[in-house]
Amino acid sequence: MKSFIALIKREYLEHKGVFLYGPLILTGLLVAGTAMPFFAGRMRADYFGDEISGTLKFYELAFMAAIAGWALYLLITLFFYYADAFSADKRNNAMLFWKSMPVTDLKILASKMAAGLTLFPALIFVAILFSGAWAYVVALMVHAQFPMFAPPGFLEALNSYWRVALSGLIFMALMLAWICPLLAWVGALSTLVGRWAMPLAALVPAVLALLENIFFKGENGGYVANYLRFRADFGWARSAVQNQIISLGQPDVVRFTADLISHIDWGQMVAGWAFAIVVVVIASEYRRRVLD
Amino acid sequence: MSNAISPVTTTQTPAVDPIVHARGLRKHFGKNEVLHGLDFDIPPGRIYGLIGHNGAGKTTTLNALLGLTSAEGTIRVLGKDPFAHRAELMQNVAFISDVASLPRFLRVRELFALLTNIHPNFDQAKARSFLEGTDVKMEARIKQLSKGMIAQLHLAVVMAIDAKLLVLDEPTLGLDITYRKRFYRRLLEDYMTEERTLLITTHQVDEIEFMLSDIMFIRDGELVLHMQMETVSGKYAQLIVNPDHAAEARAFGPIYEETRFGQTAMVFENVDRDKLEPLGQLSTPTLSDLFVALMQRTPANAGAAT
Repeated sequence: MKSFIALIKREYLEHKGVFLYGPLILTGLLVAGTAMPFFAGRMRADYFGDEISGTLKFYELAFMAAIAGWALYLLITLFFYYADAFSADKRNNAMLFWKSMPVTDLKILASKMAAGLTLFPALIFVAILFSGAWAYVVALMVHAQFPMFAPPGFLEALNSYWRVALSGLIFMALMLAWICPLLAWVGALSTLVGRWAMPLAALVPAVLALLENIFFKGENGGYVANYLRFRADFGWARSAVQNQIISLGQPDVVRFTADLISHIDWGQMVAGWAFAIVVVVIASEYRRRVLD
Repeated sequence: MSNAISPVTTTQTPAVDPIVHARGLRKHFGKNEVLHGLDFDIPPGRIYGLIGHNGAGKTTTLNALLGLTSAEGTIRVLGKDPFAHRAELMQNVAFISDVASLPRFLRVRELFALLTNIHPNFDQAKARSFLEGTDVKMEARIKQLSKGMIAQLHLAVVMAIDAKLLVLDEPTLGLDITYRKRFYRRLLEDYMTEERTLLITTHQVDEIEFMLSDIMFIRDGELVLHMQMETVSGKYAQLIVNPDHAAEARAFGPIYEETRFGQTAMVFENVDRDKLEPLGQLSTPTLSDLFVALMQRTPANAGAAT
């Protein structure tokens, strides 16, 4: 376990540019972009002719938008991370160094898989927490500039903050669990073909779907295309997220979670994890056998 | 001149459990067989030099011993099949296959911390002490170090691993003479003990000759020599022949002959030194001279297929 954690830390050291400095820079831009108009006195007053109260929902929606943005950032960066990390040891002959260590190839690939599903999302979640807190600071700044704008009270904002944050955390965890097979697929391909994994991750299933349609005349685009569409749809999250947005009350974490869990196809979830394990094991066996 | 030799010339080693045991070691790349059934044992506490031309099969042999590639035949390193148990084996085997292979994104301090947690036999205090007096700083990024400094760092890393077998494949390639000499001196003074075994390949044969206890010459995937250094003088002799004794010397069947600066040098195998002494200036061939002599011999089975 000690060596496994050390290998995860190694992933952090190698990719902290994307998962630590990147979010820090984006957060800095967010802070600068929202604070600058306030301190420079460039906020336009004619937006607030009448008193605006009951702004808690605005605050919640701003926080949810931040979560959506960071979740998108995480999805994109994880795709590139897996496409790179699984073949990173080939660079500069570093494979020879890692092969001289008393750790199996499977353990090394598993640590990469684990880093992408735990440590890096955790770093993005810290950025999410900061974004939620900053959204409240922005509301206070707007109020300071325009007293007609009434920000939500601190305690009620705090109450919404932890609810939205916890809902975001649960959503991100289930999202990662759902897309895990895609990430494992990209990583396994990367072990074989390096960065060509990025186009091949889409090209291989596309070719399979095409062949199915040519030779078996699949209905409505064929089984392969329909299955991939189903996996990419995130339909299980739609109603839960919509309910959170249109609800007039404060976010209900229990209802949100129950809504997500009840709409997930758990058979497909487990199948996806089984697929992920199989491709990572195959990739590790390839890595064990082929020194290139 | 006799120019045919048996496939391998070998001397017996004491009957102890070998660190490395190879029998019928073969390796194919596609249809091309690059190792043709090597048989050898490496006992503990020895310093072995594996010497051969480019493409002779040195690195493939080492890769098979280290479990980096599969091979046919029987290989046991510390009693284990290296290909099946590489990770387990690496607790007691250290190797440098390329000095530029250290992860470049790490700082030296981070590398040591990582190794402390990954390798149960790595001693960080030792590694730090090996770097004292060098220009390698703990906060330095590996990618910013010079090639010589990276070699020093890599050597410090492997020497800080309490391993039973250390394998070095061209460890000083591309380094200048100062670094190379320091590298080998450090290795001998600070690392080698009776319990440790060192297997080393290099093209700079003369630079490691002083430290070797045993040599293996490999040519075209076959071992042509495997013997202890101390027995070389008993088996091989080099004669700078007096011009008027050349025909007489040739009658003893030198395995190699060349003319250097107007002098004729001959290398003999298993010829009584007393018979050669009167014919010129007699000495033991250097490793590089012996290597050149044996590499240019025709194998005994050459042409057997025709």
